[in-house]
Amino acid sequence: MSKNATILFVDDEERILRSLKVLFKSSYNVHITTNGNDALDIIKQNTVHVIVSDQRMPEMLGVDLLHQVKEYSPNTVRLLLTGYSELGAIVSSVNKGEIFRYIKKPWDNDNIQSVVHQAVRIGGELFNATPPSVPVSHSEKQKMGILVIDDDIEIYRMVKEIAEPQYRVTQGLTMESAINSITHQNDIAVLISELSLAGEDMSLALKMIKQHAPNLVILVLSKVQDADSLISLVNEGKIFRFLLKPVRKELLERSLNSSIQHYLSTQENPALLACEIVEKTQKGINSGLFKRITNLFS
Amino acid sequence: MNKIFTNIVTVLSVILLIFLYQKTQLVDTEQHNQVISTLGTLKQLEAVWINQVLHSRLALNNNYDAMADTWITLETTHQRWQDFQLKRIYGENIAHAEYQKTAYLAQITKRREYIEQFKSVNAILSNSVRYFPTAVSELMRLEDTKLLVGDVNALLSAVLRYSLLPEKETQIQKLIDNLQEKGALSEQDIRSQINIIASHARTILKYRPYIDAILEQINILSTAQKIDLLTTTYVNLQDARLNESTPYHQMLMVFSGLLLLLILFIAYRLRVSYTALNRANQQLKTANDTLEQRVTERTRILSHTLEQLKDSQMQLVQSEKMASLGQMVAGLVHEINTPLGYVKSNIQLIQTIFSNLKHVLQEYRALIVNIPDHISNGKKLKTQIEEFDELKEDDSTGEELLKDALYGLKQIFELVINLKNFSRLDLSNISKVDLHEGLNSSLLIAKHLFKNKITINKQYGDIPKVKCAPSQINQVFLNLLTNAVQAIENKGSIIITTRVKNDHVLVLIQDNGKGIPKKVLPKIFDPFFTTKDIGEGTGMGLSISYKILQEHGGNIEVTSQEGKGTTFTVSLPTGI
Ligand SMILES: Nc1ncnc2c1ncn2[C@@H]1O[C@H](COP(=O)(O)OP(=O)(O)OP(=O)(O)O)[C@@H](O)[C@H]1O
Ligand SMILES: [Mg+2]
Repeated sequence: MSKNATILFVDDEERILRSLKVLFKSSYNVHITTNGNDALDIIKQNTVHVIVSDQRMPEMLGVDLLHQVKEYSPNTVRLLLTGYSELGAIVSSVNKGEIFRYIKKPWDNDNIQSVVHQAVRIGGELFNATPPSVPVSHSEKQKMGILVIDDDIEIYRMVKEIAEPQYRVTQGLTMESAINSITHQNDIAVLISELSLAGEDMSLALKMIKQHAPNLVILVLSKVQDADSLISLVNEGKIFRFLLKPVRKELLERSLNSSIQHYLSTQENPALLACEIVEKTQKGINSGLFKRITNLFS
Repeated sequence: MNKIFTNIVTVLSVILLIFLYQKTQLVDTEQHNQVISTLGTLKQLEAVWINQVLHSRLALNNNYDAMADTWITLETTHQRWQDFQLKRIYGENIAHAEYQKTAYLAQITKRREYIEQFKSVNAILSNSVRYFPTAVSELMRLEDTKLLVGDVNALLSAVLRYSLLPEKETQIQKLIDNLQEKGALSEQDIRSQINIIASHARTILKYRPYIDAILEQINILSTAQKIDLLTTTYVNLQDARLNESTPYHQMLMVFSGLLLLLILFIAYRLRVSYTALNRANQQLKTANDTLEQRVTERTRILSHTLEQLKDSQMQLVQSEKMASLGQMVAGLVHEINTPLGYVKSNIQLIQTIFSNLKHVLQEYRALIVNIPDHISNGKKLKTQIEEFDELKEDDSTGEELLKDALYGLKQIFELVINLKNFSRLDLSNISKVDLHEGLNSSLLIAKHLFKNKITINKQYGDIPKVKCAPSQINQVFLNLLTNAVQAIENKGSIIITTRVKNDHVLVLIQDNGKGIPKKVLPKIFDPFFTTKDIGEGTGMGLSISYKILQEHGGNIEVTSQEGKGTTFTVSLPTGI
């Protein structure tokens, strides 16, 4: 492993930092700090490929730190390492921090190592990627499609109001029709999806869609979920936004714009797609649902 | 204000009415008519009486009885008239009438005097007229009167004629004187008889004209005219009175009419207000009825609201409890996971280091064989490595110890996960939940209560996941388990059974504790009902559990036998 990569650990517990430093110091330049502001200084002064932060810290919440890191150094791959998963924290880590992975304490050393290695690799790619000199203008491009996977007609209408006529908005009312649209229409850029569709859980399908088409930007629009399934949606589905229902139109519009923006930037700079890599789903891999979805893709 | 006005008007009306009535009562028509008829009677009676008087002159027998009767009637009639209170009937203005009355009375008195005269004169005259012919015939019966016959007869016829028509008085005087002269030569008895005849004749001569004069006077003094005058006067007076009272009469009529109208109007108004009152009454009654209805309705709603309030208070208590529990758990989990994180990491690191070390040692061992004992403490080094190998032979060497440490850490971690799962505040309100997971979490949380006295017997059946709020359902399980533990005094067991019945999942928690007395049984689900000591029980456990199950469309039931034990059955719909 090259020692060129630099990683930063932030946690208010020094012993955590010490342990992690021991684990990674042989591979990378490891910075550690218990303080969010110091972390920001380090980010500003160094090329930090990966930051791993705790969520609950007295001075600054991990989510807020990662949000600022994204502003100062968007290429730094952001990970959250936390002992307790609060729903709110996870939602804002997705929406504000746009984190790469969510790691739970206590972690497994092998596990964390592989995740961090992956993150370092991606970080390296991002820092090395040169932005294209001539940005692709929108008009040259084919009209982008937005697929609404929700049987709530109100949401569909709201999206149409926001996005039409600039974008093509379609609706998927079942898992089959949704996956069918994705596999047959190559213009789809953004998925706006509910997690339960016609009584079925869409989580697994979304994860597999992302695996299949990493460039699709997924915006989840759903009722309250439990923290664990949300974490798995981050780690295995790389969802870009999570919005709670009922949603205000302005918020949806803003999120949709960011999603399209994100899609465009990955189009312009395919190196960014490295970030869209997901963890392979472990749970439910033997279920009938999994087979059904796999069949839909083949 | 209005009332005072009405009262004043009423009083004035009554006064006016009385006034007008009195004014119209001035004219006493009946009395007047009596007066007039009395006068008429008087007139009539007097005419009759006069007639009788005149008749009596001609009558040969001097009987005055009829006359006297009439007179008495006349007198009483007079008296009646006198008795009239003329002033009352005709007012004060009767001076003229009184004058006329006095004149009439005076005339009547006078007339009466004449009549008395007439009566006495007539008596004498009639007597003579009656006896004169008798005396003549007696004379004729005497002897030696033939010579006198001519004279006597002449006298007789002359006197009789005179008595009818008093004329030629002197001739009769001569005839009397002549007879007396002739008789003077006759016998004594003839002479005296002639004297009797002469005396009668002279009486007739004397009184006959007198009577006529009296009658003349009586006639002159006729009262008929006076009575007529009086009648006219009275009638005039009456007319005047009538005239005087006519406007009052009319006013009275008008006023009465007005009053009648007013009364009619008031009656109408009364009727109207009565109807209105009736209607109002009716409305009031219905209003009353509806009010009552509304009151009961309100009361019902209020008590319902109270019920809800109690419920929500209970839920609030519950959710407060759960929220603070959740927060506590969140903090705790984080606090535990942090040291757990680095301890686990460190042990894993040490494991790596340890195996690296072992590897190095192996190398050393291979190397050291070739090193002679005397060179640089070779002997000592050999012994050290051998000692380490001996340690390695043992089962409880470093690697095993580290493994155990990791196992312990895993256990701690699982406990924390269970604690988190139990509160499950991170989970959305309703999701499909494996009840066995919930039961296990609850058992783990309640484990410290069991100590050595209670054995748990799980008889889990094959049940589907259930749509529910796991934190709440787990709360129910913990409540039931806690109650079961508290019911077991010494040693006992709790049997937990799960199974499917129709479209429900059943969870039975059965203890062999002291049971619940029949008397207590209906109350155990009431809020704040407890048989436990202060500090031990709040009495909320079962009522909250009941509430939670109701909200889930489920149910909780109990069967108990005192001294034997209790079984609580929780049922939850499997849902769609
Ligand atoms: N398994 C049981 N065996 C015997 N009695 C019971 C059992 N469960 C409940 N009870 C009776 O029902 C009463 C009410 O129970 P509940 O759980 O509502 O309140 P608590 O246990 O007294 O107080 P809390 O649960 O609030 O601490 C108890 O006081 C007890 O008398
Ligand atoms: Mg109790």
